[in-house]
Amino acid sequence: MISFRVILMLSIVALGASFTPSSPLATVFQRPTTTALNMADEVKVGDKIPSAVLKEGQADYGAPVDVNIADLIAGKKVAIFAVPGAFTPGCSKSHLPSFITAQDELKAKGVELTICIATNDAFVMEAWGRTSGGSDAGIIFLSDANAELSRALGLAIESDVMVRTKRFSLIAVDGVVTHYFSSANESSDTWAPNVLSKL
Amino acid sequence: MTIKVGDTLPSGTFTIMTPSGPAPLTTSDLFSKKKVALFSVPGAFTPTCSNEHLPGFKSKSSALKEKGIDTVACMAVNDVFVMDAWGKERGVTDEMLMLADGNGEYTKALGLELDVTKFGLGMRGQRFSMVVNDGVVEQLNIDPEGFQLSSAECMLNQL
Repeated sequence: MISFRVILMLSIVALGASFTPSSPLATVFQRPTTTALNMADEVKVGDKIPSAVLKEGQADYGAPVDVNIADLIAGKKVAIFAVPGAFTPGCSKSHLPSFITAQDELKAKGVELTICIATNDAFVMEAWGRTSGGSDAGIIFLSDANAELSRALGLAIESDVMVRTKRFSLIAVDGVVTHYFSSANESSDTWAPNVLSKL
Repeated sequence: MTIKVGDTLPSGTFTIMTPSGPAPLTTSDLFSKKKVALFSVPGAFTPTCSNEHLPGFKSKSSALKEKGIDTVACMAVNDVFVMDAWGKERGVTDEMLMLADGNGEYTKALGLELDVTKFGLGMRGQRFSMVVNDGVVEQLNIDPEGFQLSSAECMLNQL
């Protein structure tokens, strides 16, 4: 006969497991709202980039396309950087341009793809990529509009009206984080020159 | 409570981009003693807003001014950086003010929110156009879906 205590423990464990990002039950319990159900711990070297569906805007106002980040980066060495807001000064004057100018050097170090993420919608991200020269430089602009990826990386900034993502950069090889650059000290830690210096 | 013809607009503040950066613009500064053509789009850089609604107000802005409109203004639930970038990208900053209702507060005060979360756009504003005379709504055309009544042409015909 199983004691009440054991049943209680098992229930708590099962409930806790149902809310972890990687468990299949998590998709049943997730609410697509801007209030965080729970945010993961901040991403670190060795973590696997979670599977999350972002959106990529298309040229000429085509309908945005779903992109699963895990599928996009599988088997490759990639740079991913995130900005709090498309078109905002720091993001537009420093962070993004640094990655545009660094494309050749990044490729020379084996980084096949650079991906830029923000919680702006896909139309805004496409426009930013197009008008900044980022898309022409080969950078992929993805919209994490519901902050699914930002929360899974522990880097979402919640407010009553909108979620943004903290500024960061990282390098991942076959989906596993090899280098992580936080903006907690200096924003410039996340810019391309610092990233390159560590590769 | 949704705004209607004859109402005095609620007071509130938008954000606009100025040469020295983002700055607030109150409804009092915008509407007092002026005749304003105000139109709202669900989203900067989105297809209909960019291809049809906004360009229509650009091309009709002189005609609107001939009919007594002092200011043409476009509002959306987007932040001021996005609104400024959109206005520049569409080449409309000479003809109209780009008003950022970044948190959707003014849109909510008008009772004209639009839930487009299913398109990954969150809460935005309905597409509408209005003529406001010294803060009082004289004309109001709302397109809860699609784009018919809220165009610049429609507004011109009604002036």
